[in-house]
Amino acid sequence: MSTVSSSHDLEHGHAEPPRGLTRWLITTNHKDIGTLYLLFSLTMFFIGGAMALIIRAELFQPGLQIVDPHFFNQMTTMHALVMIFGAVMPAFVGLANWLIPMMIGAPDMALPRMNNWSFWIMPFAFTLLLSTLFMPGGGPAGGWTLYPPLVLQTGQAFPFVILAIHMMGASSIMGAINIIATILNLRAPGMTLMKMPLFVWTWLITAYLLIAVMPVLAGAVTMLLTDKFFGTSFFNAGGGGDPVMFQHIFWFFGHPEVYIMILPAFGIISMIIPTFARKPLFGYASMVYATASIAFLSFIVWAHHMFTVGMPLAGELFFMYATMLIAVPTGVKVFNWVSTMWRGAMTFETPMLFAIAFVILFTIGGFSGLMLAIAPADFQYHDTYFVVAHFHYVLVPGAVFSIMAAAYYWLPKWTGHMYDEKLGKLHFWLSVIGVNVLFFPQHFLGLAGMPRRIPDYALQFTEFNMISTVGAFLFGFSQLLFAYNVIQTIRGGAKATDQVWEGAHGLEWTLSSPPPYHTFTTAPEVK
Amino acid sequence: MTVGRSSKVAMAGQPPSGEPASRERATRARRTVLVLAALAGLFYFGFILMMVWR
Ligand code: HEM
Ligand SMILES: [Cu+2]
Repeated sequence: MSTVSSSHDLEHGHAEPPRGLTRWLITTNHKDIGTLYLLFSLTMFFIGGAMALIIRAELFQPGLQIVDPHFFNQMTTMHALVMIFGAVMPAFVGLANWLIPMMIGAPDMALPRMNNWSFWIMPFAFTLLLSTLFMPGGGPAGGWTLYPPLVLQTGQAFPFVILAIHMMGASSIMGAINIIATILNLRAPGMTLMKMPLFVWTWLITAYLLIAVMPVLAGAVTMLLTDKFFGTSFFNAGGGGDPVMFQHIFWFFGHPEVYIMILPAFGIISMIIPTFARKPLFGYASMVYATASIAFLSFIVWAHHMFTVGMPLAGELFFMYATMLIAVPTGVKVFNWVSTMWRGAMTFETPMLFAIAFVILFTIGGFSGLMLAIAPADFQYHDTYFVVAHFHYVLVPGAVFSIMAAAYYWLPKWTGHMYDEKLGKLHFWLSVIGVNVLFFPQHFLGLAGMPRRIPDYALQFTEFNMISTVGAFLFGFSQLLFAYNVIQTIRGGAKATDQVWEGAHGLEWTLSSPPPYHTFTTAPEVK
Repeated sequence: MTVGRSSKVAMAGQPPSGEPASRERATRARRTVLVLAALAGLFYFGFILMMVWR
């Protein structure tokens, strides 16, 4: 383990990275690995985004125009897998790598070599996953939820998909272990737990969720594998198993997974709003407790995804009320963000715009979640576009907006250059308009009964689908502005100051912009 | 807040490795990792065994 690095390193002072490709292949530096994760994630955003545009293009009109239904189903399945495991999660891990050591005054992650491995598994996992699209029988097409028996009809791709999921899982678990070991053991003197920036807190809790549920997903897909190839009947009623059991196991992973994708976002927003409101965060301790409560509750609500599958009445009621309970800590958070802004000296630079949009639009997603949590109502909404609208509101203007806010907020620190503010604002406004045009009409489609995951639909759904597709292309192409802005900022631009933002506080802003390759080799004193 | 910076480089774990404080930190980090890895293994095999037993 590298924590036990020899005094050899010290004496010779390998302060500068090797040059060229090897630097990135063999790097154990948290900043390099953070950059790799973020660039990987950006690539996956565009690949997953292209799939989404294929889906929306097909749904522009009723009837089948562009792709055949089997390919359409591969697109819905792959879009979800790529976005969840390839885009959103690695983006947060990349941010964790860059920021957690700088925020807690540590020189690097606790396990730098494992860190390298965690990252480099990902490109292989996703090359494997994407290559299944070209295999006989095509890629997985039964939805990202992988329900048997449908998923067992996948062609030759099946074992490769499962290996890819195992690889992503291993990468996530190693990343989570690394993050916990870093936060618990490498904090600078004086950096007590309750002084940690909220991004560090939310990631600490997220990492525990990851360790608890990624192995469960791995177990579930292992059982699918043995059911298909080794004659077991875990999920096969014919052999004494139960396909519904898979759904329970999957959602025991799946619901905490959605919080894995939103808790770090909560952390980011809790860092950005105080900076641009020029006030300390309102209710720091309650934020920590709310995060922990949400994490705890996320383990006892999974069957709200299964209301229509059939459960005892007591089960339906338990999962309904438990789900609604999550609205309480979530409400605390929204209240705290708004109270932080209250009477603040606010300015509206791009990160703040994305953060404010997050607060409003995530809350809309939370409300539609509450509607879905009402078990009798869910019998109508389940598996319709209403569900699609719900989770895209929490994930796109939620998780994804927080990632963009973070990119704009910390990019000057990382690169030493200011991004183009005009372009950033343009990107924001096109995104916020695009995302609402894209997803708001899907609420109406769902309430009117349009099922999710279909390539064709009844005529009365046409108008809303057309509007949604227009929004999708607007949103999708606006993201090119983001990529352009990021690349230009990496290459040059106005010099950023060390503090960058007038209202910014925290250890990372005491470092130079860009920070030296190795930071806090001598621990700072936190008072 | 004061931030010290030094030109010396320790891979991970300040104060510089080799000193007792850093060795203790390394031991603690190693222990954290083992516990967490065991936990992950427990969840993986636990769920499968639960299903087998059923
Ligand atoms: C306010 C808290 C929330 C509540 C009460 C809630 C409730 C629900 C319910 C009841 C469903 C099942 C709907 C159905 O299939 O009929 C659902 C689906 C979903 N939710 Fe939420 N949710 C909340 C927050 C979130 C967050 C924060 C995320 C992610 C960041 C999220 C992501 C999802 C996803 C991805 C699905 C669909 C999964 C699938 O079937 O593919 N939800 N939600
Ligand atoms: Cu859920």
